[in-house]
Amino acid sequence: MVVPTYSDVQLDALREVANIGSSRAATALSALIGMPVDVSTPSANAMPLVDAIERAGPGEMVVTTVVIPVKGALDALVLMVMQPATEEAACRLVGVEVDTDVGRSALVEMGNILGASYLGALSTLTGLDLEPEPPERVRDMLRAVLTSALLIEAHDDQVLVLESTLAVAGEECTPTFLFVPRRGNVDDILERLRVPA
Amino acid sequence: MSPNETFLGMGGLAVTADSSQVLTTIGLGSCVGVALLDPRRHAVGLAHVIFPQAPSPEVDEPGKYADTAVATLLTALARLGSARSSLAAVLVGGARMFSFGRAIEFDFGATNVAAVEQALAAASIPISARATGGSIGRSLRVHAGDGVVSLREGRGDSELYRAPTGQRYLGATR
Repeated sequence: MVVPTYSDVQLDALREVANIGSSRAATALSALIGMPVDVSTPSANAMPLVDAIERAGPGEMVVTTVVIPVKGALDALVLMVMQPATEEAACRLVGVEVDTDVGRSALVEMGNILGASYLGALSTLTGLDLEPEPPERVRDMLRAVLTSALLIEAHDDQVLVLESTLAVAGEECTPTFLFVPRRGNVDDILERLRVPA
Repeated sequence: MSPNETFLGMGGLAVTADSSQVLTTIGLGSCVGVALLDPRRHAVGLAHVIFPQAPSPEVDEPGKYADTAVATLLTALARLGSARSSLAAVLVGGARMFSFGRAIEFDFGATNVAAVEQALAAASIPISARATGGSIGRSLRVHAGDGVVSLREGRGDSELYRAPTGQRYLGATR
């Protein structure tokens, strides 16, 4: 089995992709709730699937995840992952009650808006035509959700994950964004960014 | 959590004949937890299967693949003295957590379950209980002492399987 590796220059470039995407998502979230939103330093990691999932957090923690499948010039997933405290705060900040139909719809819509912003930035940056499909929300154990999502794009033991976390000022509201490109498609992104191998 | 609880990581595999032991694996989505129980010797084994098929028969983590997981569990349980004819299997997991196009196209959960079923059938091991498919995350615990397999789905815990009581549990702790 050939395990793809990425150079530091390539990983830096991919981190920058995550940075630009999540900055745009932060701007969208800030506009939505009328509060300042920070972005954490993003990470770009190519690693075994198991490591990517086990480092994400406690496997049985129930998280709400909104996934946006991406088609078009490349296949990828954008995931917005919310821990319980973040879910509760996010609902409160947009004025809906958590664990209600309205609350659930609001989170899907939030994921959709932020995910579309993230992808829009990537599209502009790379010139790749990225088409988001309708978002889907799943609330379940972290490990169950992430494994199932990452396997769709990894199809193998190795996966590349771009991760960044937003933080609403003064609130325990820290949604995490994961961008998971299909393995063969990472090269397309790097090529568009004119990053040499 | 019991002090004698062993948590298997993803792709992990363990067997035990110690009646104080509990083997656990958590957060199964498309992955499949394969438990094998031998009531007569109260030996149990558990594997956390991620993929249907190993790239080769010799892999570092046999628990990760359906075919090598079943083969390795059988070998390890035989080493503990379990006859293959007395083993029963319990399967948990194999869900499809998402329903968008590619999630349906690459239904790893169903593929994993089918691969485990095939490996068990080839070894003539009956499946005595199961909680597979659907779109829910699950955890399972295998209690070596009394041959109970407990299931966690969502917020609820339940007993999925209990080894037949006609067979004596030597050294069981409860």
